[in-house]
Amino acid sequence: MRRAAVALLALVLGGCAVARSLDPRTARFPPVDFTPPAIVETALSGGTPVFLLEDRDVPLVRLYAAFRGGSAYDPPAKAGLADVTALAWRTGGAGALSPEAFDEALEGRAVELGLHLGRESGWVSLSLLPADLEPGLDLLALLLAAPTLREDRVAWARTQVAERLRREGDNPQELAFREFRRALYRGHPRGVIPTPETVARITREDVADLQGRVVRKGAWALGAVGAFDPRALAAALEARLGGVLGRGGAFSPLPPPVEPPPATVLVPKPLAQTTVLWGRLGPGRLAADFAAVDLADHLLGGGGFQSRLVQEIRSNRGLAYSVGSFYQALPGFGVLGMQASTRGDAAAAVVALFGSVPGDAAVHGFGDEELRLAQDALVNRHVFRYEDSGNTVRERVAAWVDGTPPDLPIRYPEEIEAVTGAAAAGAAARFDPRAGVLVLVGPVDPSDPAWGARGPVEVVGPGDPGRFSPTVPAGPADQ
Amino acid sequence: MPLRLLTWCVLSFLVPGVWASSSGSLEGRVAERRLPNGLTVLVLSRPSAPVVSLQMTFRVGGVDEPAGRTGTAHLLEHMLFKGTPTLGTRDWEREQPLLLAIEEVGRDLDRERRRGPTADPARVEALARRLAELTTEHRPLVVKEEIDGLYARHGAVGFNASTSTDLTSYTVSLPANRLPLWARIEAERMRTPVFREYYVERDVVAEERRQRYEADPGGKLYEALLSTAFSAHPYRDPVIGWAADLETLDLQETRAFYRDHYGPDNAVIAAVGDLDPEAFFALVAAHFGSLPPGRPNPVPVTREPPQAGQKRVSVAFDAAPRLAVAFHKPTLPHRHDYVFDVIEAVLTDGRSSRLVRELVDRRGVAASVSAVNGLPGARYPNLFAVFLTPVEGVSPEAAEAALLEELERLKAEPPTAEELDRVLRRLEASRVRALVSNAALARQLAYFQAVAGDWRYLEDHPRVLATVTPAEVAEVARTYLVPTNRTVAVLRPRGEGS
Repeated sequence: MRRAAVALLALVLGGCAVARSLDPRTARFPPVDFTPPAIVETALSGGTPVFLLEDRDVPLVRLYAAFRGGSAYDPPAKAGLADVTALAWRTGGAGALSPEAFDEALEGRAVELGLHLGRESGWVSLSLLPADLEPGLDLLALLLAAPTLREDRVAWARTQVAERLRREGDNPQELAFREFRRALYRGHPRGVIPTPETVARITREDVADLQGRVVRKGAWALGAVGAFDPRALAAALEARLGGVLGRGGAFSPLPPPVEPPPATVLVPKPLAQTTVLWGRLGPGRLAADFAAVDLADHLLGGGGFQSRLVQEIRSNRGLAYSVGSFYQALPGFGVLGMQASTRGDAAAAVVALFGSVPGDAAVHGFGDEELRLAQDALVNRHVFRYEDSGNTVRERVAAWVDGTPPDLPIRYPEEIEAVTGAAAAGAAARFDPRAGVLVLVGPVDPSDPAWGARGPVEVVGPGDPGRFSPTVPAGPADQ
Repeated sequence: MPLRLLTWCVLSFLVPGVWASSSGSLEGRVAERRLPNGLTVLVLSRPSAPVVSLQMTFRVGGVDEPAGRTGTAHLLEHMLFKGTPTLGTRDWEREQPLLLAIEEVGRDLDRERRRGPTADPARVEALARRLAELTTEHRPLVVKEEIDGLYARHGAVGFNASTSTDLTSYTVSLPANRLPLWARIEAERMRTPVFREYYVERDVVAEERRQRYEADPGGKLYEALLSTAFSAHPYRDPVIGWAADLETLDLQETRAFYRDHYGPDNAVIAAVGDLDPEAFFALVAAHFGSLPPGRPNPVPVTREPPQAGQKRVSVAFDAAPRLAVAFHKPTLPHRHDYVFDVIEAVLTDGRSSRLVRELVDRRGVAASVSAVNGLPGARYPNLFAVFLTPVEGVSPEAAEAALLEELERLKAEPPTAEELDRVLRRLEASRVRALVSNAALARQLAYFQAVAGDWRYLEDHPRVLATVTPAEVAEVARTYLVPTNRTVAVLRPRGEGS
């Protein structure tokens, strides 16, 4: 008892010493040391790779399945097929189970089953308590191998997707990104945008065909994390999915898009605020300058309050609450840009700052201390990817489907550390609004000649994506 | 109280693991300490990765603001990021007189503007120009967002804050060996915050209001719903503040609000992750132990009178229609609040829930529907609300009728044993899923300690829910889900009969 009291006193005194002496500006801490748990790699008899990580910290099992295929492969005349298929597939029942019975079987055991088709790849996820693992896997296998895809459910999915398109115009940010993608990917399959007309053309046969191709030729990878025995789970997956999932063959990687000439898109809408969005194409995840652009993005607007755009537009001028930059690196190409929401009379000022803030960094570079701080931030926070061991498994599954090296996430800190000041300044030069696509949604005046300064101006209505001909492709990306 | 706020707990009896200790109870897993100045500290040790999530929650929010000063709690939350006498400044001695001058000119400008049409335009212009000059002069003395920068350098994620009607919370997650940095920074900004750049930040909040409420159909409808459902209680006011109040929110009054409500006896610190509880208690005691207790809550809160008849409000907006239907009800720990948690889940939790199945899937009336118990807060009697978006071709009136029909059905056809069992199982699983996140655990611990007075509310909640009977659900529905207790808010496209 006395020893415990002495120990506690020492802790308190130690705390007092810390309270007095630690200077946040000069404090330094050693890097945290952590060795992530090893993933067990195996494969189904059909060749599908399986990545398993036993982790009994939380009594849960999470399974992730990724595959190639998605909306970028939709026939232009039936754009929206991937969305309708995902919805009809997931909610349409399977085997002898009606849609209602299938949902009740899942929810009666509190099993969460998600199914999503993205642009070029898709995901199936399963989350359940360990006691429900076997019946949960049964339901997953049933959905993959024998979905019902009932006609009425396909019709319902068409209605839901059409409704989602209709409401896209209600949200200024969603609207801005829709128009951004449409203009940025003009001429590329990613640029095909669903409309009520293209969705209405989708038939039950279209859905069944796509679902079948995804399962048989989608190049699947599986992963699981949680409270399970890896060998037992591998056997359970083999028994249920070994003969179901194909090796691939469909949905070959698409060529990267080509950056269009500078364009400005105005979407006049009677709102209290204007959403300003600019962006262009950039390097992919495997490019040599990926890390430099990632760091420049952090310094310019992706790094929160410390970043230059946030300081200049929000903190110094009070022009926006939401402002920043973004950079998304896919395997073959990337998208970078800047975004802010500001009052109507400040939109032109924000556009000007989108030019001058990165331009200043490109010409004069970033300060040594500024650069060091950003590198420290990106490197030191890397440990958080291990807080949820599910991240590690999801990364491995995604890397396999994307065809990227599995150790890419682990190499990230080294890549960031290696970026020089000159490289970061060079990357900042890519954030140049004289190129790329500028979109404004809100109380903008299309007759203002200022908008024509950087090239052709397109004025569009907010609620009518159907106005674009399928032969003039336009549409969503991954932002 | 919303079920979604309860998305965690411990079911350690399911499999052996970290959560298997103490027979499935958080008691024994959560270490608790109360400092002599009233500060409550909760720690949950979870060494699966070398990181810690921290949450500091104050029992103060929009509901505590006096009339005419709505938005104060939220603006104050923004100001707490601006630094202290040692953080955020290049020269505190030179900065102080400038801050006083800025405050004086800003106050005079606000007073003149408050005169509205009788304001002297020349005086407004002169004062605004002077304020801009002083702001420009002040800027070189400021180290912009230094607290954010310090945390970022040391690998922090999720450095943020939030204000609700009930609470204000400050959150950050750090590599586990950086706790002394957190304690040093947080204790200092709690003890001696400096409200620098106040007037620019007030403009930022005005932009936030435009973004979240004035340019967003969901925000617009929600604001209309609350201001209609509540006639007298401050739950009627938006947390971000009414635009007119926000324009001239006073710095001195904001500072006074801070002094009244940010005492350690009104605060909870929750830490979850790779840390030793006793060492953390010692660290907190060393840094926060000398903070003086705050003042007792000086603001009387008007009780909402019983609703005497249905209320309706229509909002015209450039968007597709949507609607909300809300009913007054008691808050926790009233037994009926638990029953409403069950009702919420029976109605819209999952694809098998009643409203999703009937209105979205079978009848195709709605694109989406969701029920929420406990709006806008839980410190006072609140609302049970259902939000619905009709599909194209279905009028808001038809969607409302279909929704009310289903709510009526709850009275005549209470949930079956199977439905109740599904609700409990899903609640159980969702709690386990939330265990994955340290930040979510810290948030929940702090939330219930601050609102319910004891984080153990979490432990009791599933046990109480398991005792709710179908007959009780029907009885509660018959009591509260009645026309005279109902508020309906409908958002329609401009020009459609609103």
